[in-house]
Amino acid sequence: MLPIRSANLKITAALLVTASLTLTACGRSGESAESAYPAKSIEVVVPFSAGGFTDSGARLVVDSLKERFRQPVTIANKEGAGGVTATTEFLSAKPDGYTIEALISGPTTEALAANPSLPYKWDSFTVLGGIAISPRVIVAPAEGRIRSAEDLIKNLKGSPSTVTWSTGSPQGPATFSTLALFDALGVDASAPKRVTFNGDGPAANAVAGGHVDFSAVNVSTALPLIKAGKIRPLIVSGTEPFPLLPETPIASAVGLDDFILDNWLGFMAPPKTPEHVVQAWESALTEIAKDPDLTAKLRNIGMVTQRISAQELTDMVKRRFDTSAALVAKFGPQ
Amino acid sequence: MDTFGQLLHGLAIALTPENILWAFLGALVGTLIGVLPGLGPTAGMALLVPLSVGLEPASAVIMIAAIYYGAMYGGSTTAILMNVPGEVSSVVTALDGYAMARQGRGGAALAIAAIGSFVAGLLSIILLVVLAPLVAPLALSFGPLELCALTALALVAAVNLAGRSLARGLLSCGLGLLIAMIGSDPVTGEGRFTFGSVELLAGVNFIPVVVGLFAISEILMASASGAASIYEGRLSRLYPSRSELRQSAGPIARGSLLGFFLGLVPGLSPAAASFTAYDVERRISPSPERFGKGAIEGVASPEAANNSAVGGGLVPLLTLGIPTSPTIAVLLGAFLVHGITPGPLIFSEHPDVAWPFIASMFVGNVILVLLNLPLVRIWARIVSVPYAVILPVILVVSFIGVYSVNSRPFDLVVMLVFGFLGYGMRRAHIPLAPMVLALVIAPIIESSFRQSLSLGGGSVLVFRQSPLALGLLAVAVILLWTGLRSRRREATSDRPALEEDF
Repeated sequence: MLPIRSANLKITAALLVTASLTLTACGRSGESAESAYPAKSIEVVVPFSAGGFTDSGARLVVDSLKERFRQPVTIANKEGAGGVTATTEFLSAKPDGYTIEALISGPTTEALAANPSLPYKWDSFTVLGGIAISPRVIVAPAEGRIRSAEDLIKNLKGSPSTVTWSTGSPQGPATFSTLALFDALGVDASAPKRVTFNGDGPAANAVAGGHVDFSAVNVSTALPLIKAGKIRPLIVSGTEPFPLLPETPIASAVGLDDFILDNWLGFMAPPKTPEHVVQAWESALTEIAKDPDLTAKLRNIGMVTQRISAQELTDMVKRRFDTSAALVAKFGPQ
Repeated sequence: MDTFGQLLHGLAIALTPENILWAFLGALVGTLIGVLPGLGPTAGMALLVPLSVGLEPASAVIMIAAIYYGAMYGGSTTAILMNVPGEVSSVVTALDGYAMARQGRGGAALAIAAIGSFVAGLLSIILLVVLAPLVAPLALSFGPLELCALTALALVAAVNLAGRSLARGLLSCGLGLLIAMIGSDPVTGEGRFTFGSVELLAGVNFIPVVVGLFAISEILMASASGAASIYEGRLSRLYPSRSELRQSAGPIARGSLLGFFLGLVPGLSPAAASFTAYDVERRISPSPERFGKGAIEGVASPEAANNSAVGGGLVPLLTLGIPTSPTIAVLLGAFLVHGITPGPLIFSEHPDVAWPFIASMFVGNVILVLLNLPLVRIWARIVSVPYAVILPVILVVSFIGVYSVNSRPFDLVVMLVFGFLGYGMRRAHIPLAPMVLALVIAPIIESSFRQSLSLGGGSVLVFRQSPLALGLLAVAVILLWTGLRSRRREATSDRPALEEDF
């Protein structure tokens, strides 16, 4: 009996070594010259699960970047805790331009404002620029008591405790955009009943089923349900009419002036990434933003192509973080 | 044109050589994704969506959907042969499937899994075509209250999965519930049991836990057993006998129906459908004591249920535009990138995509069964491969599979920890199944319960608002009571304790 066991042990040990070597090989190796960036494949971390809104957009963009960079660009989904886990890990990634994270509102803005003790700050990372935006839209059940922005405002101001709302992320954009709405209307945020779901999809489904009164969801999540006639768009965030929902009033049209809660799709690199990487990304993003094919694909999933420079995007992140921090100061950590 | 005419027209498009090729490719990729633990259908489909953009819209969605149901076929193979569930929903299949493999009946289990999947696949598409407009409102009626009641009903199954000792079963179930609490609170986002670790804030990932509990603990058990291979006798028959086929017919039919209807419910995992189907078979079986020790019904029914849940999940997508699961959401994305919005208008606006898409699933299921049945002969021999060869392979496959989910070394640590935990539990005769059930159900029941409380302003009386939820809760209480009573009867009848826990 004993020889068999020790043989097994040896084989197991040998395979453990093999497995770990394989894993090491999968990781990054070697350095590359500045001039030839990118000289090998780039990994783009998406801090959310596969198939989500950010993931779908990032995959389409990455597909175009591949051609532009002439190197493979792969996506690694690392979901968990609203993107915070992946972003924390990303803080210590090698700043060589070969590990990039998709930058969307959430991990470095709303979630950070709610958890100031996280190891990173809003400006810890090297922003590479953005490619698209997608607003949030406030939706209500198609057949319900709330049928317009005025109905919603009236109910929220008149009898806030009878209103229920759903959110797809406890410390993310969905919650904070609704808090911003309450703030703008002067409604006590604790009065309406909040129902928390895991993701914008389930939060929107709860509206479609009439289980809650309203929700602020991603346009891409809302579009199919709006088209199916199951939910009714009330207000779309942003400063100009959103081309995919031309009929829906924008926030300023219903008296909500400071309600700019567009989601953006951009990219960032670990802290202290050299300038030539930023430049390579800026020019690549500028280039692919001109591609009508990519624009059409992004539009199909509810994103509008908009070239956002690294500086602009940094400002947007700062503004969003400040707004979120102010909401936390006012309504407490969510 | 009537529905039938439309479907025939769709079938004509699905049967063009090009579309058969795409269905075949999708089915093949799906089977591979299913066989390997780790990478699941959601990630596999998401990976191929950008590649499908260049195809015709119909071809693209045909391929992406084929990956999904292909993975449901493939997930059972390693679950049966090596106790390594390839997909979450195959955990249940491993219970009796692996027991059959150890008795040299692995071939029969594989064949029944393939046949069950095939029948369920066809049946669920027929139900989809015939019943879609009728049952679609059911999906919308499931809000937090109803989902919470339904998951409470599913959790009652833990009593039946407990095996010989109720205390040990409940210990396992409780441990599962506790582990599911690790990570961020679903309502407030605060960390629970994370001890300051950012990795634990994301919670303990399901795949590493299951692969650890089943595969790694199996390696440890096998190394300690001194046996030479999974099955040491001569393999006599590789296909199921006539009586095994007869025994499986009922479970396949019931599993298909149950899977279809549970597939409709937004937010309920297909794994919950498998567990429920297994529980139902055990309850109605005249000899429930065979379950967990190689009952073919225990393979047939959950395999049928998880395949049928695919068809069920398509109903809310195609009629309401509602994705009921993350996997269906990826499929929704595949439609969207082609400028097609799934929903009630899809059949009038895009009949040339919607009908071929549905028809292609008939084609895909035929391809899968033709692909899988002959392979049974080859796969089934794995049980005779010496442990010295097969255990390292299982170990390597487990490592790669678990790492592929999130590319996170921490997951490998989780897998190993749960491997040793599983080993300890099995040595102490604590069954693993209730723990896995708890892990599947806990996040759903917790968030839906707390959502219900939010709606009720903190009061449980909110359940009074929903007759459906009250009905489901009543059934749960009755099942719990009958389950406990039959257990007491078994205990007092003083049967010799032949049972060995799985």
